[in-house]
Amino acid sequence: MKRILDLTLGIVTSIGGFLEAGSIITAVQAGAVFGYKLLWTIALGTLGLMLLVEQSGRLAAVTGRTVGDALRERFGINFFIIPLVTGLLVSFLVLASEIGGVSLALQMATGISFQWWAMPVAFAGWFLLWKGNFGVVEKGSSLLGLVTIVFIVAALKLHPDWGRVGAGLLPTSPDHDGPRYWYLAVSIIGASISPYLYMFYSSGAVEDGWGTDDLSTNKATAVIGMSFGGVLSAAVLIIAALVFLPRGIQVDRYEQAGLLLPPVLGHTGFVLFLASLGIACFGATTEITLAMAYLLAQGLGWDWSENAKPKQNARFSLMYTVTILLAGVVMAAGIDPLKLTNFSMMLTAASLPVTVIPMFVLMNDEALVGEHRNRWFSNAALGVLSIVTIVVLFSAVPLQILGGS
Amino acid sequence: MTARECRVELLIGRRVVDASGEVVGRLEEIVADYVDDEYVVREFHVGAFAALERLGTGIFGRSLLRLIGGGRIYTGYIVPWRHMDLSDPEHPRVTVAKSELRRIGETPGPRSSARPAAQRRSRRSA
Amino acid sequence: MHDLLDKVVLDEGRRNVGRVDGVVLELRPGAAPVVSAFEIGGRVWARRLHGRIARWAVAFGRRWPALGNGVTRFAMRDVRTIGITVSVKRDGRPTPALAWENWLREHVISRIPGA
Repeated sequence: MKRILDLTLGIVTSIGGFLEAGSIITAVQAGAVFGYKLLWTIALGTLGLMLLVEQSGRLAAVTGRTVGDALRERFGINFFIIPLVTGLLVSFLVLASEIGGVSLALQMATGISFQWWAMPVAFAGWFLLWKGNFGVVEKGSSLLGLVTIVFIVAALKLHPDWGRVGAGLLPTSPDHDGPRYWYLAVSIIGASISPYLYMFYSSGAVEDGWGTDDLSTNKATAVIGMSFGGVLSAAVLIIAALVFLPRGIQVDRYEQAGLLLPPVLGHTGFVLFLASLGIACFGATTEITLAMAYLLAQGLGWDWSENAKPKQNARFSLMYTVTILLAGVVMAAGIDPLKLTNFSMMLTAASLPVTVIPMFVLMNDEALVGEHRNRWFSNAALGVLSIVTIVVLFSAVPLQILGGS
Repeated sequence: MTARECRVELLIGRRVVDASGEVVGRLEEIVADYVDDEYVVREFHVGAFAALERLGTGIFGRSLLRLIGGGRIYTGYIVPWRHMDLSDPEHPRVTVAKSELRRIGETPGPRSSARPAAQRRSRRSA
Repeated sequence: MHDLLDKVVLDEGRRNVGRVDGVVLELRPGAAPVVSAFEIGGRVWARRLHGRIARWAVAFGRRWPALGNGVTRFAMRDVRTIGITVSVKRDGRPTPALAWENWLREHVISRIPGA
C-alpha cells in the first residue's frame, strides 16, 4: 500500500514539477511558428529525460551515491571539475530565467515591472529552502504545479486534428525558416533534459533513503511521471499551434504568451496561465538552486542535506543562499527574461554531453552498480541520446547565430 | 632509516618507462595490502591504454573498451614494488625490462587491472 | 588507490569532513612503499587539475590564503574502514578541513533567523 502511495506521489510530483520557463516558452514558440511539426522534439526530449531520471534514481537507490558523488568518485577531481563548472554556469542562467518567469507572471498580474519582483521572488525561494525540508520543497511546489493540467484541458477543448498531431510526432524537416526550426528543436531538447532535473532527482532519492526495493517505484515514476510531463509540454505546443499560428503571432515577449489561454478559457484561462507560469517557475527556482548546491557540496565533500537545518550544513546553506539571491540580482538588473530563457535553453542543450556521457559509464560499471547495471536496451537508448547530445553540441553555436531571435 | 614522501594522486597517470627507456604505459593504479597495521604497497598497475584512462580515470578508456571487447582488448602490466623506481616521482621507472613484466590480462579476474586485489573493499587495498 | 582517492571522509561522529583529495606514499629504501596518510584540502586537489587550470587555482589560493586554508592530514592508522566512504577515528571538527564550515556556522549562518 505504501508503495502505491509512494508511486502516486512520485508521479504527481513529476507532473507538477515538469514544466518551467524553458519548456513553456519553447513549446509556445514552436507551436506558434511551426504548428505541430516540432512535437517530435518534445517526445525525444521527454524520452531522454525519462532515461536519465530512471538511471539516476537507480544509481542512488543501489549505491547510495548521488550523481554528483558518483561523478567525483568514479572519475576523479580532474574530470569532475568540467561538469561542475559547466553545470553551475548553465544552471545559474536557467535559474535566473526561472526567477524571470515568476516575476513576469507577477508583472502580468499586477502591472508592476518584473524587475521589482525579482528580489522578492528570490527571497521567497530562499525562505522556502531555509525553513523547509526536502519533502516540503519538492512536494509543495509540485502539488501546486498540478495547476498546469489546465494546459491539457485547454488543448482538448480546442479539438485538434489528432491525425496531424500524430504526424508531428514523426521527425520532419521544416518547409520554411530552417535555422529557426532547428534552433527551437535544440532548445526544446535542452528544456526537456535539463541536467539539474535528474541530478536533483538522485539527491532526492538519497535524501529519502531509497534502497533496492524502491527500484520498481523508481522506474514507474520515471516512465509515467515524465510521460505525463511530456504530454503537458505537448499540450502547450498544441494550444499555441491552434491559437497563435493562425493569427501569425510570433512569441518574443512573455506578455504574448499570456494570450495563450484566454481564447480557449476566457479570463479564467488568463489567470490560470499566470498561476501555472508562476508556480511552475517558482518550483524550478527552488529545485535548480538546490541542485546547484548539491552538485558543489557533494563534489567537494561538504555536508549537504535539505532535511537538516541550515546550521548543520553551513557551506551548503551559504551556497544556495548566495546563488538564489545572485540570480535574483541578474533579473532585477533588467535582463530580458525571454531572451535569457531562450539562450539558457540553448546552452543547456549544448552542455548535455558533459553529464549524459558519464552516465553511460556509471550505469555500466559493474563495480559500482553491480547486477543493476544497464540492460542492452537502456544502453542502446543512452547511446543514441549521447550521439544526439554531441550533434547538438556542435550545432549549438551556428544555430544560436542563425536561428536565435 | 630515511623515508621520503611522494604523492599518489600526482603519480597516477605518469608515463612509466622500463630499464631500457621503453615506454611501458601510464601508471594507473597502486595496489596495497593491509599488513601489520600498515598499508603496504604490493604492486603498480601500468596500463597500455592508460592515456585514455587519464581522460578522467576511465571515462572513455577502460569502460568503453570493456563494453566493446569484454575485457580482452585492455592490457597492462603489473610492476611489483621492488621493480618500481620512484626516486624521481615525475618520471617513474621500472628497473627491469618491459618483457619481464607480467601482463595484467594473465592473472584471472574479469575486470582486469585495478580490481582483482581491490575487490574486497573494506580496509584492504587502498 | 581508486578505492581511497576522492572518497568521502567521515569522522568518528559520522560528520562529513571532506573528500580524500590526495594520498601520501612513504618511500622506504630497501622496503616496500607504504601508504602513510591521506590529505584533504583545496590546495591538494587543485594540483591534480590539468596544467594551466592547476596553476591558476594555486595562484588563486595564494592570493586568498584564507580560502585555501590548511591541509588536513589523516594518518592511515587513523582510518577505521575504507568502503563506500572512509571513516577515521578522529574528530574532524578541529581540523582545517572543517574550519570554514565552523566559521560560517558561528558567524554567518547562526545569525540568520531560522537556522
